[in-house]
Amino acid sequence: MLPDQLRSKLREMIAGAESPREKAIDVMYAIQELQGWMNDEAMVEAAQLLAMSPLELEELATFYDYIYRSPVGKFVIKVCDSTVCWLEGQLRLTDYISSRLGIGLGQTSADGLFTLLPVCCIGYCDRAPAMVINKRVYGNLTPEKIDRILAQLAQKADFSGSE
Amino acid sequence: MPRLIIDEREIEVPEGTKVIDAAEMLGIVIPRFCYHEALGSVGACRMCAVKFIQGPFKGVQMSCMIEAQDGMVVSTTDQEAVEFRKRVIELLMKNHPLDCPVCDEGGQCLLQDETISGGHAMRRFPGPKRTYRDQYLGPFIKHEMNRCIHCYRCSRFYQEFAGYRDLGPMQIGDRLYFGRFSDGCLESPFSGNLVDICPTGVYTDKTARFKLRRWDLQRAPGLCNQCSLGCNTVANAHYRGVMRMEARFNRDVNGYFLCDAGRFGFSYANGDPGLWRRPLFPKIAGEVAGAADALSAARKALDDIAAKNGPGAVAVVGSQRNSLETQSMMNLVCETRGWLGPVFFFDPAMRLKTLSAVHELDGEIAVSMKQIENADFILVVGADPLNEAPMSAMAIRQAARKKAPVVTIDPRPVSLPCDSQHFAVLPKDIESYLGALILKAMGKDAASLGSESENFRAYLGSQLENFNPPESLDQCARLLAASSKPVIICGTDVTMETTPAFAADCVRLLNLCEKQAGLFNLLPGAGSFGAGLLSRTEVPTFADLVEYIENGRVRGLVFAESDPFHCYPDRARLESALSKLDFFLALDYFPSETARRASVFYPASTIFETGATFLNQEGRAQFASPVHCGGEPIRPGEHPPRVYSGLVPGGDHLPAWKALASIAGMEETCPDIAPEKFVPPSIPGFEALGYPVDGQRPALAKSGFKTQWGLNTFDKSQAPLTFELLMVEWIFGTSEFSAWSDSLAPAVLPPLMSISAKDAVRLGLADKDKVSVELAGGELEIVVSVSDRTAESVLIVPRHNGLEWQKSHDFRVFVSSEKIRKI
Amino acid sequence: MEKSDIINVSKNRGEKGNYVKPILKGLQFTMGNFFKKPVTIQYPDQKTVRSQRWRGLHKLNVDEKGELKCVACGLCAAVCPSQAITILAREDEGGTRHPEKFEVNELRCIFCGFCQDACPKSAISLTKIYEYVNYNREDFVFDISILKTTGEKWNS
Repeated sequence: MLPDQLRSKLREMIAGAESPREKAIDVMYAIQELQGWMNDEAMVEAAQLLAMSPLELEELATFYDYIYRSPVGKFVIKVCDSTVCWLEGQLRLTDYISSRLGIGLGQTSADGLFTLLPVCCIGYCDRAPAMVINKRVYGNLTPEKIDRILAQLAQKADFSGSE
Repeated sequence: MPRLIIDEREIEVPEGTKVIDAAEMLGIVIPRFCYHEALGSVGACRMCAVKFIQGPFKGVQMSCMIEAQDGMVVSTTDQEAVEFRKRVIELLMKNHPLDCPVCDEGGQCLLQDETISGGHAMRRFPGPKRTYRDQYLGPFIKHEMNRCIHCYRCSRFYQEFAGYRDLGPMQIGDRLYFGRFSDGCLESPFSGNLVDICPTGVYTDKTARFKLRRWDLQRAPGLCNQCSLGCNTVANAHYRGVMRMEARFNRDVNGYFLCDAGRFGFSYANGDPGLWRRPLFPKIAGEVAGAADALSAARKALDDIAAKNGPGAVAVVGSQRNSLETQSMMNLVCETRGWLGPVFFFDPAMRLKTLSAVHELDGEIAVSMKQIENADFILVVGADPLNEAPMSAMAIRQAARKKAPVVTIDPRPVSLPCDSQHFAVLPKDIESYLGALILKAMGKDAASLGSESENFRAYLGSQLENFNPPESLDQCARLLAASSKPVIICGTDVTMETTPAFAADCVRLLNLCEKQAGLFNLLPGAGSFGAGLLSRTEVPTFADLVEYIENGRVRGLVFAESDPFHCYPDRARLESALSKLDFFLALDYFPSETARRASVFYPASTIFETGATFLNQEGRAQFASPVHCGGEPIRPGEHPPRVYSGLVPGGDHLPAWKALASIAGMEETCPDIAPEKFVPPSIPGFEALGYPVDGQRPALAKSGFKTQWGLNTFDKSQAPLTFELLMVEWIFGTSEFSAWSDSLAPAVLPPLMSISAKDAVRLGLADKDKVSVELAGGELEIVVSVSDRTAESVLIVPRHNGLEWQKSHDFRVFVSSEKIRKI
Repeated sequence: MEKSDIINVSKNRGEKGNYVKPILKGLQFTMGNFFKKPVTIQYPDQKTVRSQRWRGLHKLNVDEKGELKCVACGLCAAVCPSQAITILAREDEGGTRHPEKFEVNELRCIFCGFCQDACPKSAISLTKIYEYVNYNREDFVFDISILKTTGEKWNS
């Protein structure tokens, strides 16, 4: 069940659009922001709001890497696996992250902090190899840089956790 | 018309033909997976690559994406193209599980064929194959996603062509998955086509699962006889049972597809090994007897009655599912022997409607389903296409996809797989709405049309006096006025007696306004058109016949493929009437109540065993070839006896018309007519053509009926706060075929009574409430479904096999509001 | 009867004793073989060696779990020139295909071995067993239980 406040916000959002379904991605983003991922219940409700069938929304949701249909960690590390990053040694870096966090692609670390996902080109070929963590892009990655970023994030999580 | 050369052969093709189709016209079949003539091209599978040597395109290109143009030189056998296709098939086979031995598609699989013909034999890729979890897709379709080659045919058919929204592609890239949001039955009543359309075995026929191998099947071109459309099928039989049905391409009728009721509703024809439903042996007074004994006993009994009480004391009753042969033979027998009949109709109103629908239709205004697809305005009056004739709804959708507006005028909450404007009106108001719409669309210039228009206005005048059409009707009229090829689809189930004729006149008026308007009737059954043609005016309906029986005028009856227990609305009266008869004979293939009670029962053969001719609702004569000889089925664990003889136990029965000829003592006068040589007597259209050619519309050749304005027997009065009980058809669960076909049983939904939202408030009912409706024959308990799209003052009840609607006691029933109780 | 019609069989009496030489020749062959090792085999006490490619009774093979390898695809029945094989398939709870019934009529069979060739699962093979007897013709229609244990009845 979506909270009423969110629901009315979504209704408003949809009402402003020419046709409801053009807001499908925004609606899913809004729900995801609140609960972290799109569970089946949320999918069905969102589909109702958008006057789509759950399947039609699912088609969209599973097409995009940025909508999660299963629970993810606090930080979702999306490593680009497209050509330019691959040329710049993306595979090695992915392996590094994966061994450092002890998780494979598509898995979430035991402390629930990190999820590692491969994504399509994110448009940062000039700074390849690149990755995105929660809407922030990191380019020109090296193992050292990754260490730093992950440590920072972990610290941030600790800090917000102790609050 | 472009001329091009394909594989050193020249061909001229119509403008806009794809190269892949041009090649097919030359008999060269270019391999393809995603391309399908009905679905169009997307160029997704890369399998139809050919080499363009000269012309506007050069090099290896997809033949499904390029239209034939002048000066093209194409080679399908060029080394480069062959090599390309070989690589493509190798990649497509990368993930295919190679489970052909256990796959029901094996033997008719496009992927198998293309792999072999493409020359791919050894797998070079050493990596693992991708696997999926399969979904439960309902009782008809088995899902096995591992076999998928991602051609998108299924989702293109399901979503774009058929217009349903619960099956489609999910995920991307290598993870692409075709399925539903969650496990569950497919919503589309056209889901069976996924089996035909999938180039490999992702969707297979669940009813035939593991029962057969393709190469073991006896196949013959057949017809679907479940509704009036006459869709073309291929019947597949094995071990003396019909095992599955496939769609047979007919451009004018059903195209490539078939509805689920037609595809899976065949098991009535099988003496199911488990249930032993189909009666296969003749019976005299309930005891199994020899065929010859049964026929001679019936002959003697009927002769005795005729000798004692005159020939008029014997009546012959048919139904809406008789083949043209049976209908003609009944006519011939009644004419020669002086028996009463043949009675084709149970409901007098239905008889009038069918007769006028048949006689008003002529070659000028009749349209085929293909023409519906090309219409630019569709008006559905008094018809529920999806429930009465599902494939017509598919045709309507094709027109709607080409931006044709669809307007429905009906008391039912008609839903179509496309956008439509619905006017929920009472049956008596359908004509007013239709008339007002046509008048508005004709506009001022209608004055110049002369007497036709004046008559039309005069007829409508009284009806339109107190009629205030809603705003939206004006808008529809404007769209109709702007159209050039409108089609009116007129039903016969809930309409008034005059409506089919009125619709035909509307079409003629539209044609006077320089439109190419067409009429498409929906009739109650596969044999209705023939019944309408052959029905003689002096012959009573079954409702009258019951009176004749009660007053002793009729003493012997012959039911030829007819079951009054299913069709007649008053069961108690029927039972007492039948008990008054001296003798009645049933010739049927259903294990019906009539067959059980008959003095003599003779098992008539089905369409699969002896073939049959049917005229579909547009008058098109079509033949179904026999596919097997029928007979006692092979039970699991038994092999058919290896004897080289044509005789099969339980398989020696005659079609109803031959049995009837034998009973009437007319074997000699009746030549042994094969379906394709059949000439029904006394139909001018057939005489003009000589032998009817399969797929032609001979019955319309000389038709042309003059309109009788003002013929209306329909009583329009309705007391306030009373509800008319409208009996309607559902796609599953109301027909006799559905009653006796186990294969359809899982798809039948529980009966629901549809009422309008306003009436629900008035009666204090809510959706899913259970109510009891007090009828003349007792209380009918049914769950209510409230809809905004239902007309007010009607209760819409399906003639559901699980519902005792025969308590209604009449064909037209009114119920006052105090007789509807919530329980 | 004319005298010329009579054939005088004793015409060649003069060459009396000509038979001795052939008899001795025959005896020489006999005696020659008398001391050689005999070529006949004392069937059924002794048996000949079967060729590697001998085609005898059918056998349904089982996998390491002891389950039939057969998936009832029907290819053997389709390829069989004498229509000796009958198969009915069944679906188990997991959706897997198994033979509900698998019958080989050994009296119809011509032991061509096509079934073995056609089988995609190596589920049916021909053993080297060629000696089988029964009291009824019906008993030669082998079902799964017999085919699974082909040979046990006669080879023990």
